[in-house]
Amino acid sequence: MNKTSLKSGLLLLAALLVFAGCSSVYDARAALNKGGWQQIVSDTRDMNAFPERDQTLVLNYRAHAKMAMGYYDSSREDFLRAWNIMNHGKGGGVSSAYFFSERQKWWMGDPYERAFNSWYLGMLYFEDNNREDAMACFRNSIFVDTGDLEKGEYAADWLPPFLMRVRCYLDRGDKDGAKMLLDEINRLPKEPANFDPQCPWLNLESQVESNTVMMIELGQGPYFTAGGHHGSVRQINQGEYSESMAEVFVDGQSLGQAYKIGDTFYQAITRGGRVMDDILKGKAIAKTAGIATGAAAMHVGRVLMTSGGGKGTKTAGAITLGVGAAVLLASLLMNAEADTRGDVLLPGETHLMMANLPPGKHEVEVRYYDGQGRELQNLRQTGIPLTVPEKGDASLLVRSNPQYQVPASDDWRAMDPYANLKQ
Amino acid sequence: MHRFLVILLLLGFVAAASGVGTGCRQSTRQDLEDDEVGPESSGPYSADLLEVTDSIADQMEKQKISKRFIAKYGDAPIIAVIRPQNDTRFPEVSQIFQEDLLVELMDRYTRDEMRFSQRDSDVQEAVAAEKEEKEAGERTDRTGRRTKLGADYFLKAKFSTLSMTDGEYEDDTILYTFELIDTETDELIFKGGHKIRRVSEKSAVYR
Repeated sequence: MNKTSLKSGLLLLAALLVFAGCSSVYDARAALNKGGWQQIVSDTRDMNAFPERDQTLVLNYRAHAKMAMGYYDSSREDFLRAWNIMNHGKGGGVSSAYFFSERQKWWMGDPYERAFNSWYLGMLYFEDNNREDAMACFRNSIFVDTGDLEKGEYAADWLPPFLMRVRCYLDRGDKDGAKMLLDEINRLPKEPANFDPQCPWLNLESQVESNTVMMIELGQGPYFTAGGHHGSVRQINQGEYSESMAEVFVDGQSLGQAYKIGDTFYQAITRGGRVMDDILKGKAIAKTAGIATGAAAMHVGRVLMTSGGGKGTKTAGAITLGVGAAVLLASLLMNAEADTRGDVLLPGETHLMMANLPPGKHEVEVRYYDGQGRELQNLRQTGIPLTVPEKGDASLLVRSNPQYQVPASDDWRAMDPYANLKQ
Repeated sequence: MHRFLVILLLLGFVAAASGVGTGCRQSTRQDLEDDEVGPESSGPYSADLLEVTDSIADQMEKQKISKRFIAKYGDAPIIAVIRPQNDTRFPEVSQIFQEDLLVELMDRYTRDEMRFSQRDSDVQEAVAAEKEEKEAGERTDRTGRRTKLGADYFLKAKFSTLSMTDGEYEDDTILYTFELIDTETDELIFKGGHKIRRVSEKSAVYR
C-alpha cells in the first residue's frame, strides 16, 4: 500500500466522518440576533427540514418564539407537542449514540429544560384560564426536576412552578393545598443563588391577598460547550447579561422591585450526575487507547513487512498492519464528544412580582437595572396591557431582552403566525 | 485494484455505520429499532379512556340512581357536570375523560331517566344573554321554561396521581374518580373510581 493512497484514503475518511457527524444544529441564538423572534418563527416553519433527532429542541424554539410574539394558542400547541415527546417518548438514536456522536440520539432535554417546557405550557394554560391543565403542567415541572428521593437524591427546588401551583390551588379555593406547597418551599435551603429568601410572597397571607402574578425573565440562560479529553466533558456556561433586577410600574405607580425566584444556571449545574457522562468518559478512554494501539500495531506491521524477512513474516506484518488499521479506524470513528445541544433561548433568571390590583384594564411598565442599580434604559418596556378579572388571577409573562410581546386581544392570541407569511 | 477495493469497502462501512445513506434529514420513524419509539408518542393514557369510562358508567348504573330518584320524585334527576380537578402531572387528561363519561352516560340513559345541565362558562354566558333578550321581549320563549335548569346532582371528576421516579423508571398510579353530589344536601351520593398504573422505562442515556 503506497503512502499516497493511504493518505488520500485517510483524508476521504476524515471528510466522511465530518459529513457523517452532521454536527450542525439549528443556531437559534444566531437567528434571534439576526431577525428577532420572527426569524425563529420563519426558520422553523417546516419541522421536517430538521433532523428528527433535533426536532424536539427546534419545536421548543418555535413554541418559545411564538409565545414571545404573543401567538399563545399556536405556541401552546407546539409546547404540548414537545411536552408529549419529552414526557411520553423514550427517545431514539440511542444505539448510535453509544458508538458515534451523542448527538445522534434524539434531544429530550435536561431536567431543567423539561421543567421549563412544562412551565411555559402551564403558563399558557393559566393565561387561557385553563387552571386544571396548568396545574398538571406545574406539577410535572416539579416532578421532572426531582430525583430518587428514597435514595436521598435531589428534590425540586425551582420555585416558579411551585408558586404557580399555589395560585391554582387558591383558584380552586383550596387553601390547604396552597399552604402545603408553601410549606414545602419554606423547607428548601435559603440559597440566594437559587432564589431570593426575602421574597415576600412565600406565605399564605400574601398569596391570598394577591390577584396579579407577574413573571419577569432576565438575561440569557446557560449554554453548553464540549471540553476535556476528546471533548467528552460537557461544560455548562453561564449566559452573559447585565440585567440584575426589575422594577414594575402599574398605571404609573411603582409596585417596587421584583424578587428572584429562579436561576436557570443554578438549576442546570445542580443536578445529579448524568448517566451519559459515564458512557462518554468510557468512550474517551477507549478512543485514546484504541488510537495508540492501532497506530502501534500499524507501525509494527510495517516494520515486519519491510524487515526483509520471509513470506511468513511479511504475512504476519500484513495481518498486524490490517488489524492495527481496523482498530485505528474504529477508534477514530468513535465519537466521545459530549452533546452540546441545549435550549439556548431560556432566560437566565425568573423574577416575581405580585400585587392586588382593582379589576379592569391596566398598563404595566417594567424597568431593568444592572448590579449597581443603574437603569438599563434601552430595555425599558412600556405599555404592557394587563386585564385583571373580577374573580381569579391576572397573569403576565415578560422578558428583559429580547422582549416578549404581550397580546392585547384574543384575536392576537389565536392568530396563525404564518397567516401573513409567504409559503 | 485490490487495495482500491479494500479502501472502498472500509469507506462503505464508515458510510453505512454513520448513517450517511439515510441522510441526516431523513425520517428514522420507519424500521425503528427495539429501543426506539416514535418521537410523537401520544402517551399511554389515551388507551385508558374506554376502560375508565366503561368502569365508571357500570358502577353508576349499578347504583340505580335514576330509578330511585324517579320513584321518589316522579321525574328524572338533573345532573350538572362541573369543572374537573386534575391533580395528575398530565395536562389534557381531565377534559377528555369527563367528556367521554358524559357521552357514555347520555348514550346509556334516555332523557326520561336522566337529564344533564350544561355548565360550561361560555355556555352559561350565552344562555344568560339569550334569557335576557327573551325577558326583554326581543326573542320568543317557551312558556314555563324561563328559568335555567336547577341541578339535583353535581357530577365532578377528580384525577389524582402518585408519581415516582428512580431515574430509570417513571411510575405513575392514576386514580380516576367521579362523584355525584346532592346539590341540596351536599351528600355524596356516589363515588366511582378506577385505578391505572403505568410504568415507563427511561432510556439510560437520557438523564
